[in-house]
Amino acid sequence: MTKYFLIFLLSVNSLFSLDLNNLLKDIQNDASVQIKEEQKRLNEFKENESKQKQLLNEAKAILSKESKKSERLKTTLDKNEELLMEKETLLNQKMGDLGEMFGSVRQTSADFLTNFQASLTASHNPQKEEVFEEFANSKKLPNIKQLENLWHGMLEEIVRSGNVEKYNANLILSNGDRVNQEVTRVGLFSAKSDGKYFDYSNDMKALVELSTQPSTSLGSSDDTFVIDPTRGTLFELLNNQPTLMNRIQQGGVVGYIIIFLGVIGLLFAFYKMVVLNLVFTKMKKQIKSLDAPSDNNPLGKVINIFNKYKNHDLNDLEVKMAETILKETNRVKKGQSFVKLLSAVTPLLGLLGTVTGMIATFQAITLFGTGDPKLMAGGISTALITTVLGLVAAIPLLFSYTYISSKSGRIVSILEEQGMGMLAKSL
Amino acid sequence: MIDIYLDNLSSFFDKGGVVLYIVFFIAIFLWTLLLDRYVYLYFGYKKYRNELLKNLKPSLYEEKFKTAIKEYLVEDGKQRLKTGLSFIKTLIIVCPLVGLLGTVTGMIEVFDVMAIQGTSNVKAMANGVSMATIPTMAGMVIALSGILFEKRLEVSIKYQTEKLYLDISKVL
Repeated sequence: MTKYFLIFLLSVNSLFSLDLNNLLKDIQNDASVQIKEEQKRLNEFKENESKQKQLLNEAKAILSKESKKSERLKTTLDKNEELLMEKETLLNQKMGDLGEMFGSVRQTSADFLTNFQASLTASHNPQKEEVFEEFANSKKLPNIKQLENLWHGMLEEIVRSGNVEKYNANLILSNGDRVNQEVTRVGLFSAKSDGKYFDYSNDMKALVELSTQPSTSLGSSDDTFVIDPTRGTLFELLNNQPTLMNRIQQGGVVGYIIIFLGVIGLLFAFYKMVVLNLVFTKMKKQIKSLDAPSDNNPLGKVINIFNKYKNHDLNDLEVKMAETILKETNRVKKGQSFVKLLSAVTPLLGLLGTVTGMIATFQAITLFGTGDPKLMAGGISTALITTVLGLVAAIPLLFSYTYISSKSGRIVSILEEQGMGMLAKSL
Repeated sequence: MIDIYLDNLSSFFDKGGVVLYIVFFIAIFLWTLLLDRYVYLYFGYKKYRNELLKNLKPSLYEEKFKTAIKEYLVEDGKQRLKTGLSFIKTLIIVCPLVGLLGTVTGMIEVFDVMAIQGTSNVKAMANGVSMATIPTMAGMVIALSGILFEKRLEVSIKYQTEKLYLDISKVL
């Protein structure tokens, strides 16, 4: 192994020494060639020297000529500037009050532009915006034609704002569709198309359908027209007006419980009224024909007992009748207290809702302070709405309880106090 | 002169809102019922009682049922006097409740205004406040006036019933 390695080293060494010898020879050759070339160039430069001097002289001549020209131009510039100053003062003198006028034109058109962008008339002719924009944003002095344009534009605007007009305009419906159809516009106040009211949106450059239309009581039929004298502010406020469903939702869980109890109570009371009325009419009929008792009403049952025991001892008769009357009274009065309970419970639940709402309000106050009344509004509306619901449920329940109790009182009194006397009288 | 009072009245109703109309309706109902009761007590009932006593003869009925018949006659008279009385009582109870309803709806109005315009605009809230207070006051006034006459009526009915019992006892 080492033998091979040594042979390898020797061979490499011999190769390398050969190369170095060649390199030395090459460099010596190259150097002699370069020296010859340098010599040649040097000779050339020496020959050209006189030519260069001539070129330099030519360049200097041009420079002096140009600097003379620059001086001449500078004086002209100064002269011109003086002239310009003179002219400008002349212009200012001549313009006089007109400068103020252009300022006020610019201001007026800027004011008019903001009004125009918010007004319904912009839907009629949206490209007219450019007329007003031209002045508001430009620094140039307007010419007489442009001023006339502005003047006529404003006049037209004034006339239009006092007119009722029908025209085609771009509309954006509540489902997002863009259509072009006929619109009726009353001055700057309202715009209506197809029974729907619209408001102008400058960003969309179109009339946008109001998300909450004025209610039918205000007249959204075709032959009536609602005018919003505040130019759309009232229509916007309509959006904030909560509907009945919103109000009920504000009542929260307690509100729903009250509604549930109220409905149950009223249904039960109604059922009870019907049943009692049926019983009462049957009894009335029975009173008219005391000698033909039927078993389908309480009085008939009592008469049957009376007839059965009327020849017995008075005490015996009384005991038997009392027993029957008690049984019937119970049946008549059943469920009456349930209605009374509900009529007492619903205002209490309303009060509960009030208190929980107030707790929510005070929580909002501890978290956010009293600065923003809108944050407290949620709790307060829960409080108030539950109270309203409680009262609204309690009042009809109270009436129906009165009706039920007076009706059943009537029935019971006929059975109890009058039963025996009436029967004895008829003997 | 009357115009001024009518004007005042209509502006009063405008301020009170819808609930005040309900109170007004209840008040009319209540007073009609009360008036009807008083009229009956002094005219209709007198007639009924005189006729009853005129037709009453001791020999008409079996001896052993006499107590029962007496009770029946008194109860019948009482029933006639008391017709609608419980309804009057309910109306009197309901009056302040409706007033309270007005308070709450008025307060809702106030808070609606607050939610939209903030607390700065006191004048806008005043409308809701008057809607809250006027029906409450009206409800209270009606209930108080009603309760006075209703109690008076109850006393008269009790007196009349006892008197009838004594009168019948004298005959039978």
